[in-house]
Amino acid sequence: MLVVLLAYIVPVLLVVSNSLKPESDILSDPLGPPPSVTLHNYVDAYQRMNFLGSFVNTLVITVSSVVVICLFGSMTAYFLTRVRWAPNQFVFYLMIVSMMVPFQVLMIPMIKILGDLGLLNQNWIIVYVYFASGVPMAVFLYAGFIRSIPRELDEAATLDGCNRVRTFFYVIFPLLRPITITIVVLDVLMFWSDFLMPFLVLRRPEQRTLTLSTMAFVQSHTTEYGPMMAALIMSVIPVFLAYLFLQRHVIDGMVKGAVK
Amino acid sequence: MRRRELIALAAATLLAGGCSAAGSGSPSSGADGAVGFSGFVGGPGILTQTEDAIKAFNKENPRYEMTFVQGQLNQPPFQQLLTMYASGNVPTIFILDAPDLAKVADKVVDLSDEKWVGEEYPWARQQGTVGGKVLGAPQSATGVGFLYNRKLIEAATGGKFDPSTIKTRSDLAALFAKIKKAGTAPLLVSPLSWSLGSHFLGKLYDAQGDDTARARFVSQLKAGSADLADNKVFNGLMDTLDLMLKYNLNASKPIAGTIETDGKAFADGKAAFWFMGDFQWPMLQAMGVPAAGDGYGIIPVPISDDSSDPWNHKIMATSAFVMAIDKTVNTPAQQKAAKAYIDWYVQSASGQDFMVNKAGGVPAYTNVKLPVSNPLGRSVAAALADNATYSPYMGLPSDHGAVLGDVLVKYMAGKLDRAGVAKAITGYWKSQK
Amino acid sequence: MSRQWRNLRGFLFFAGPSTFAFISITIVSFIGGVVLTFTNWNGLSNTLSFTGFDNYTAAIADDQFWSSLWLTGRYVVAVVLLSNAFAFAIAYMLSGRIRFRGMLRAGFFTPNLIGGVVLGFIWYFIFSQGLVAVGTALGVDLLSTSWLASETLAFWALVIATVWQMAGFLVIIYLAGLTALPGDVLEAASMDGAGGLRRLRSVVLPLMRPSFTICVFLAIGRSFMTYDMNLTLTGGGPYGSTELVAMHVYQKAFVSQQFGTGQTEALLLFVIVAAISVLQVSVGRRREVEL
Repeated sequence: MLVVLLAYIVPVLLVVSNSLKPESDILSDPLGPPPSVTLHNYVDAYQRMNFLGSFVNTLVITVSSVVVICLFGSMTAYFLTRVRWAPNQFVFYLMIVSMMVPFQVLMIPMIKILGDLGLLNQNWIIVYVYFASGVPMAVFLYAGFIRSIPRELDEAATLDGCNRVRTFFYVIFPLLRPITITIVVLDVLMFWSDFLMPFLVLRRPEQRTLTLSTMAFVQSHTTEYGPMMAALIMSVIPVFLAYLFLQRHVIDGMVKGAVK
Repeated sequence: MRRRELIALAAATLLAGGCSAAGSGSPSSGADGAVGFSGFVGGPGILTQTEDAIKAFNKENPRYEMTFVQGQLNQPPFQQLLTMYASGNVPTIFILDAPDLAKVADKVVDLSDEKWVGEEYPWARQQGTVGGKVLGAPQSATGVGFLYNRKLIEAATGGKFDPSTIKTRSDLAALFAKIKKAGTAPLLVSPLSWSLGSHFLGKLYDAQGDDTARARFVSQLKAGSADLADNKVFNGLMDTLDLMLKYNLNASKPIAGTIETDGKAFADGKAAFWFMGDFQWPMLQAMGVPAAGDGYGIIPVPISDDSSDPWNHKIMATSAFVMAIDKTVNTPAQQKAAKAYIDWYVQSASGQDFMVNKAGGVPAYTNVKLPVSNPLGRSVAAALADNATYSPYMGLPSDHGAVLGDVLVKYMAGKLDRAGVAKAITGYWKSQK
Repeated sequence: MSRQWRNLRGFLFFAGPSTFAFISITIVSFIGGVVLTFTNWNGLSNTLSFTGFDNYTAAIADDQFWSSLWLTGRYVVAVVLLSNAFAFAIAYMLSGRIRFRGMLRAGFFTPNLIGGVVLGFIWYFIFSQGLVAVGTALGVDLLSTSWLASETLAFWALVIATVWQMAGFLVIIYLAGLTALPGDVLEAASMDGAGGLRRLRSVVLPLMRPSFTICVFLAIGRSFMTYDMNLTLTGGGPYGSTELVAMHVYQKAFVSQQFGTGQTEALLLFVIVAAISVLQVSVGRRREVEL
């Protein structure tokens, strides 16, 4: 297993090793270990990309989007799968099919409309756009999971005097924890490193996300590989640590609770 | 318990997002009533320098407050302008490639009456002019040709290298043969479509003559009546390409090179010449060429054996980017502020310092007297001063470089012959409306 | 009547916010996008006029579009099969009782945090320089020339890089599916030897069908839309031979500046992919029911 993992993370290891080298060594000997370890790239990148500011922006955008998607996505999936009603079917399939639309079809009309409404200057618009574009996948995954939960559970709750809202929040939602974790992880993966949407929607320097700041080192004829790779590592480490922490303290516990 | 903490954390983050949403977009008035405007002006490789320049501008011009707009610099600025215009979020001043200027002609400010227009080199003014109006201000000049490494050439030939002795293709061939005999690779040809399609093949149109002759040639191509097999320039260009490929360092694997590996090879002295442009200097320097760059320069690409052929003697020089000012969503006050930025860039000591020293540019303005810091740029600046440059044809479609560059790469790979290249070029033009 | 009313109220409460956001962003933009395919708008001008089906005629006549679509078809088959096989295998191994499980899982998912554009640069670096250096040092012919310089090998470089990225994404879904299985099923299957393998085939795989349906669905959609990796890893090269359809469509609209044609081709792409996906999901679901 460790061997597979090592093979798998070779690209990441290359990034780490090169981020510790001076620029000229990256180009002359990209594969070898750093001749002498220097943190220069990290210091340089940290200062030039306004790391803390970018980090906070990325964190706020990612967490807000994920929370909104999980909350409303699970509610939507619950209603769409539990209530046999023609409009439900329609909305469900509309969402599924929409996941196959190339973003290119939507891009220009979307920013034109948002721009005409004057919404592109609002910080929250990117969360709204992520919500709109991320909710279909969440509904799709939640729906698959909810179908496996026996309807008898809902019925029992109703007999106990719960209405649909209480049934969902007190009985069903807690059962959705495993799939919620999956969706959280998938969405964090997508939003944390997304380039295109922040690039299209965020214009002011103080709004930059980590990926936008990192891309500042990537340019057409010359790329500053050293600072770029250092910036990448610095962007990934917080999520890596957060995952390790959550894995140990939250995920394992929740899954155990869900299975038994 | 733990779950409640998590929820609290999430709620707090959400709130933080909500609170900071209070700010507004591109501000039209900055602190202390200064006019706020935005600039998408950083060219490739000079992002930090540009940010510093803007800070300097704001400090020296307290009446204005310029904010910097970061572009995606691995894509042509025009593509980004499309999304910027669609979103209505258009920077007050932006850069674009000179040939794209015509496409935004109805959206940008007429700069004909600006003072710096009088300082422009004639070719620079011509490139920034659309329909008789000056719409763009060049950031700097850039030149394309064979970069040379004098030390390597002289070590191989045992004599002094005088670039002006290369007047014809045969002169070049003789020099290549001599260098190769000494065991050094004469040159590097990089299999990059943007380089070959725009910079090399561009000469097919340029060398047809003046702008009228160029336009006539292109309209013949579109009509399908131009015969490339009998075209002197086409055959001359292809003969030169054959010569280049014969002496290419990577002749055994002609299309494996990348900008990084070839740049590194040239910096390490593995080849005496490289078909490229002066814009590659920052990379060469990063790869270990001393900053002084003694002995590096650019010579033109000869396309015939006629020593009086002017196209053998001139370097292609063009504006790296032109700056233009939007008038569709930016207020007159903002437009005025953006004009002040161009004035600052061309006229002030710190603006010129940014242009020449920080960004390594070759001035496109006669009033800038600072010595050019980029050694390859010095060749270009000298050629400009000697009137030994030519402006490229501005009417090429935006995908010309990518599409026909690929054709030349295919030719390099041996998958296409000269007739095939000619057919691809005529086919491309016939499909243009 | 009152049932309809109750359903509507329930819908507004549970599905209202999602549906509103989804429609206001995705559906409205989609309709806008479809309208543009009937115009000659160039992406920039203030005016546009309706041109009927001109863009559709141009799209259908665009040989490059169809050849890039065919190339993409082969690419999708390779990517979907390989990425799902790898992802399931990795997830299966990670779901057992092994040491450093948290570390290992994090190790498999972290590389995905390096976004598409930058990831493409890293793979470009590996294929154009890393592997070449290894190949030259070891004298391996296959590696000593950059893969990106050969039509066939550049295609496989693209497949490898995408599979690598996609597998890390799919592992997470397979892991979720596997953890949801009853514990004794997994334990029985994780026994060594033929017994374990047979149980894997006869017990675990059938129970995992919903996960397979979801993962194949997501993999099809994502691989048809591959753009970032294509642009940064091969740039469509050598000489345009690896230009996948999403990249072609983008180039058509923004580089060749035939915006309407590019938009139309993207729409055709959507119709094709949607048809394939709906077919795949309905077949997948039916097989789940057969259990």
